[in-house]
Amino acid sequence: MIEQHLYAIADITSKNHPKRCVVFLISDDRRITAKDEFDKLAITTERHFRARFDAWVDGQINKKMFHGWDQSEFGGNYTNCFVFKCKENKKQRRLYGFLCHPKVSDNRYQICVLVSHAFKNEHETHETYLKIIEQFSTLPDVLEAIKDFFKEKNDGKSLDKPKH
Amino acid sequence: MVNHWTNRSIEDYRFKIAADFINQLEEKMESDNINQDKLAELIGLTKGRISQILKNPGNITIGNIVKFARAIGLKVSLVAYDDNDPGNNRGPINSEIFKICWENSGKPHDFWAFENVSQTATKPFVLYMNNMYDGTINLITYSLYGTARSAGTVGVVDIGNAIGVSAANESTVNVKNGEIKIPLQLATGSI
Repeated sequence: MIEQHLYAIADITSKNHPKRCVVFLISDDRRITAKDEFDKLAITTERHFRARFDAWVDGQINKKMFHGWDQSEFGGNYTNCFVFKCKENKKQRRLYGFLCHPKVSDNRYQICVLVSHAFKNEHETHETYLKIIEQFSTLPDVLEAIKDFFKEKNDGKSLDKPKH
Repeated sequence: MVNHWTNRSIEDYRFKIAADFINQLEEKMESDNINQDKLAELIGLTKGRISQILKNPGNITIGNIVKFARAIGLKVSLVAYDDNDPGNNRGPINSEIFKICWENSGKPHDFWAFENVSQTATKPFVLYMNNMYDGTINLITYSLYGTARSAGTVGVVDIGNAIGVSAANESTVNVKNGEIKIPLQLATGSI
């Protein structure tokens, strides 16, 4: 029997930014670790990550802080995947996620859905992480959670749901 | 709306602006092939202390900011600005944006440069629009110089001289010496 999980979205940067937003995927699925690990970070590391989220939302390009993978890497299988990077002492922390465009009324609006956290020691990204991210990025229940979070009124404005 | 994280404390705000500065510093160090050893030598601090500051920029002092910048041939300014966000819901503007705007404005060194701007007012100019956070247009700044930005792009630096701006209708804004059209969906508020 296939295990059923619940999925929801939590924003970390403002979803009212006109171009981009960073969110966490949250779930009872143990493979989804980004938010749990982020919430446990030391304050300096947490601030570094938040500054990186801001930089990406603002449209800055800086491969040392965050990047995706293009067609030339891993056979072009992970072009939707994305990672935020931060060095903490000698450990390399990574927050892996995927990019998507959740608004029907504005197909340029882009979000990064953070899924999992990892420590990374080798220079190259372990493909296993990306495979998992890619799986979640196409999961119907995940897509439904994203759609629900970025639900829009008929006039194209997003609905801000009260936080619980 | 998510309250921007730099509203949590002065330390958070300080960290953000210091981290932006360190990013600029590291970019320059990389382009000039200056490593931390060399920087330590130039500044006269130990490599350990340099590394500590770069890892946790929140505690950097203005004195060290100047030392770091000057050591690699940069200058630094403190810029206060009003981006029509008194509640800081959007966080501070990335310092790299100010740098790009300054460079795109011809790197003016003094206020005389703006006098020259007014004399060339017939040049095409660019309208910077504020983010549409509340669905309305609540700030328009403009510049006689600069790189064209798409409508909705964050407008942060108003270096132009006063030029009248008026709204003719929902889709057009007439500006003296030029006309700039704004996409209708963005022009829903009063100007």
